[in-house]
Amino acid sequence: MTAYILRRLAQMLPVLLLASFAIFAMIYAVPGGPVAVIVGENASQEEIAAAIQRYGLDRPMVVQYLDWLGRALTGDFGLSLHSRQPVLQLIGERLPATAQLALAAIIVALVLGIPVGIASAVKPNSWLDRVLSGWSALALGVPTFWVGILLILLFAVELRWLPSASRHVPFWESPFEALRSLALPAITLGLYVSGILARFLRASLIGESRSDYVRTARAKGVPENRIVGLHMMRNALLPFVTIVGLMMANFIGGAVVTEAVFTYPGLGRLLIQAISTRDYPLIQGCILVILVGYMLINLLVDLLYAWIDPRIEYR
Amino acid sequence: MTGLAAAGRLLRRLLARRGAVLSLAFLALVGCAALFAGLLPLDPLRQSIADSLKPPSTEAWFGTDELGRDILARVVYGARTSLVTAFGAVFIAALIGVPVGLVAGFYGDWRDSVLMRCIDVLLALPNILFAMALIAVLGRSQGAALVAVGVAGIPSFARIARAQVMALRQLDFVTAVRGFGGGPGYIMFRTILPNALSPLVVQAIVLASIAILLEAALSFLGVGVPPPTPSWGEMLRTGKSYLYEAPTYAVLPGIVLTLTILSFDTIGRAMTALIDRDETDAVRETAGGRR
Amino acid sequence: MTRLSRRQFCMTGLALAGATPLAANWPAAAQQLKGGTLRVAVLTELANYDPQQLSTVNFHVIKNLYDSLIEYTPDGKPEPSLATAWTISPDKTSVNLTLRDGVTFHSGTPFKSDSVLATLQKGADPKRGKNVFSTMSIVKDWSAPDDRTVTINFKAPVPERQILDLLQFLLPIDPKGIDTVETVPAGTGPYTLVSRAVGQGLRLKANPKYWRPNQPVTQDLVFTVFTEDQAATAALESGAADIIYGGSSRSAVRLKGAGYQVFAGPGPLVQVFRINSTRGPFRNKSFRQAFNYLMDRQSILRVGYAGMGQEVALPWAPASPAFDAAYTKTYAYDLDKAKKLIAASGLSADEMKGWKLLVNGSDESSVSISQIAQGSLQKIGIPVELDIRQGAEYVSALLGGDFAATFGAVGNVQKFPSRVATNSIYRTSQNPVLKDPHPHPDYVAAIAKVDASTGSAAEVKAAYDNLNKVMVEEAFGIPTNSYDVGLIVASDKIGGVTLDMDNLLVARTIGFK
Repeated sequence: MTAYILRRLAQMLPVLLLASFAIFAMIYAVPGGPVAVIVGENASQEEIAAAIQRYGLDRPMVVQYLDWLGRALTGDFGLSLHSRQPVLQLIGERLPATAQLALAAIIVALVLGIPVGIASAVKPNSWLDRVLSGWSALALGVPTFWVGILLILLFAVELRWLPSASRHVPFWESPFEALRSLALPAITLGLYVSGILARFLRASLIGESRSDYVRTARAKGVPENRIVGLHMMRNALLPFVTIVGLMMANFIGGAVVTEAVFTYPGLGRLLIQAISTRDYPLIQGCILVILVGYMLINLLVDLLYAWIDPRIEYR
Repeated sequence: MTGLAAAGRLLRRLLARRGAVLSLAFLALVGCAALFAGLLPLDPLRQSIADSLKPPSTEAWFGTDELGRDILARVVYGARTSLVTAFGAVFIAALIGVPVGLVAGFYGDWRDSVLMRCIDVLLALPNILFAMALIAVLGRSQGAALVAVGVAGIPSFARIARAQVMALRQLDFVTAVRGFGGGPGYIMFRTILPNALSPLVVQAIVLASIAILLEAALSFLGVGVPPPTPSWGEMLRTGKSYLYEAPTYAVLPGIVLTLTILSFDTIGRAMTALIDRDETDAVRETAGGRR
Repeated sequence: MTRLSRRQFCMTGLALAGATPLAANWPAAAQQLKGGTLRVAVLTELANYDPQQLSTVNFHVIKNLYDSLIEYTPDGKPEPSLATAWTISPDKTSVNLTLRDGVTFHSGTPFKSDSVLATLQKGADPKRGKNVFSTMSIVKDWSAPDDRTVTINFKAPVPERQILDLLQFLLPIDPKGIDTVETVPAGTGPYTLVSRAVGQGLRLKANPKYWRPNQPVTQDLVFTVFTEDQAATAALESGAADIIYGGSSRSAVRLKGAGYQVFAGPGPLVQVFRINSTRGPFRNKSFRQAFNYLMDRQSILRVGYAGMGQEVALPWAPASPAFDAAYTKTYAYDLDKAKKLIAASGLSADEMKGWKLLVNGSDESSVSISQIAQGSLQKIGIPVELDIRQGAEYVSALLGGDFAATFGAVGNVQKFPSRVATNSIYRTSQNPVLKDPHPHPDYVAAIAKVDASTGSAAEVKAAYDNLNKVMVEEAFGIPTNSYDVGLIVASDKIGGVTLDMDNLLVARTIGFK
């Protein structure tokens, strides 16, 4: 088991190395450098030259990359060109916000998705199934930013119950404020994911219900809710965990649109901001953190697999 | 041709489903709007600042935007932007994704590992971020949006194509073609691909809905098709900042966008269900026919 | 000469009069205000703590961590601050400053003439001088006869107002911290830095040793950064913030309607349609002049800035001594006049096309007003495309002069008129857009004339009039409207708002009713 984890972790390195170089190369292909934003539009030639020299942007790209890599390997991801703050600190400030939103959204998704998934799987093709399947199709198809706009219109503009824009309030500091701030983005994001979860759960439960052991159990007269609750759920859980894991992994950087609608200070928006100001070290840092997060969660999901289903063994 | 007959049968069965029929009808409407927008008495660019941010009325059914332009006209012309971007993107995704998947699945050796690792990296980065990065490189234009959305769609085509090849390559008729001296290229593209077409077509439809969503999301984030070209996502973006002054501005284009995405999705799902049901039969059938 | 010395005397007298009772400017109201924690929503992420980097992103912090040598009242009268008196020599080639006693920097270092010298030296250094550098171009040298006195000598006689502008622009920095001033604030200001969370905000607390009595009113000053206007508005409405600083005009209009207080300072920006007169059809003077009439200023002001601000045809704020409302009427939106000038240009239809209007995609107003200009051009048969670029890409294009035309705001429009030349498009030498030699020598001469007019009011007025005339004739910058920067929207329980000449946030007088 430990050997497996170590091997998986080792496999991450070449991918990260490759990705970091690719990002560096890509950044340099992008028109417009970071200097413009640093010095401002009214800067003199002297200021521009001084800034280029100060940030070492006049060196060849490969030299800059190797310099960055050398430091990154020792855990130093450099300073943001724009704010002159350590990149890791900047990311560290956004990561809790991202994690909190991801968690809240997953909770919303599970609360909505699981009952819908089960209810529609119990009697496939019944009217209930159709209504619920329609609901999950709707949750999936409606663009998150439009849902966000509708929620803002209703709860912020009309009813004035919730703020139209969110900020990050750590849950343990002020649970009420945190919930108020999180409610709309978490519902928006969670609604979408609940569609995926419900659809997926329905499919795997129906698959299970056709399997032999369920037929046997039914033949033996085991009550239906016991069959669903105990036997089918356990087996359906496996692919379900994967999906939830994948979603979590995607939230690390992929909730950009929801973050934009509610102006939520997540990692995705930090990256977009960094791209817009061409803040090279910050772009590198953000993307690598997103990649590492994605891979770690994937690894975690695989391990969870083995724990849920002892038949699977990792070597 | 069995393929054509199968397609005809699929369409007939599709039309038996009410949701699919409604979806097809709506898409036909949107498609016509996109194709024949020029024939309608609507001008998406004509400004009339004095009449800006008006609510829906008999003159402007959807109201007017911040520059006094007719929102309905912009929604109709926006269909063109959306559909062109979506179809172009699906085309690009298929053009690159399918061969990658075919080669990876057919050989299954180091080529498979290398190609699939690349696909993994594409998958690891959320596609919206990847698309934004690509647009940053290419500069903001409709072409850039199209390519960015297309590249984001490559992995799904590659994976499906790969899975299909792996399922089909051991079947008798493929082995037979190989026996007749068919080269790898011939086998992949002339023998296997035609038989793997239906899941790929379904994927194309599903992807079209994702592409429309992604294009709108990019425009919403302010990096999509540049104004004044009408785009649904851009309208939601601008409309969002006028929520207090003109709430319908962001709501009405959003309805059209949502219905379009839902329609593509509904048809895609209906087709998946139909194909799934008789996929095994179909494979057996075509394989038998060939033999 | 007698006239000059009398004026001189008045000046010093005024300075001294202002120096004695400090609370004079903030009468009774200051006493009634209560302290507490002032929560300010801002829309820009601070770049650094260098008071010489006077870019809008730093506006909310500078005057709270630092003090100027002198201040202006909103109507442009100088007042003492860290300098208690200033005496301009009769020939206007030097100014003598008396520094305030008993002031210390946040580090505990006493405020003495050495800090003013260090600050002047930094400002005069092209690499470190930032926004102060161009203002320092009039300065020859400086000296400090003793700890409380500084003398600044100029290269040539300088108009009084320009000397005052320089003094108001100088915010003394602690000499011990001057090399690290970007990351560690080193001022004498009413607040000291407690902590900063990049991208999120900043926390300041009252400087217990502050030299202005009874100030700052609030003990804590907390800035929260909102990346979107709407978020800041929501924070104010939900009571999570007491003040929005630097929000959009449109939200301000809406919030004013909802009962909030709105304060607009005397230092707005002016939106200018910048023309690269070294390119394509823009080399043709008549073609450029057509743009004076092509700007639908009323629509631009309405759509871009919710009607807050003024239509202008010259790059001056109403507070500027060169402001002239007559030009706005003369150059009102008129497509027929524009067409005539375009016909007079002798350019063919093909020659007039083929350029793109560069647009700052990060600025919503720019996107809207560029579309208005595009619409006007379309109406007279010149179709152009918009080239929308975000953030760094847009600023790079500006810095490199790599555009045909673009909307961009200019600042320093409320000060001495030649200060407009600090904005890239109006620069008289090393202009990044128009390059050297300057293609509009008449404009360069007009600015020089303004700088050299130290004589009678009539002479000064003539120099301003000449500059205005040259600007619309050369037409490489077409101003459309002034608009508010650093707008303050406050809840009704806030009082004591002080307006700053540059619209910087001055929090020290603000308190709760």
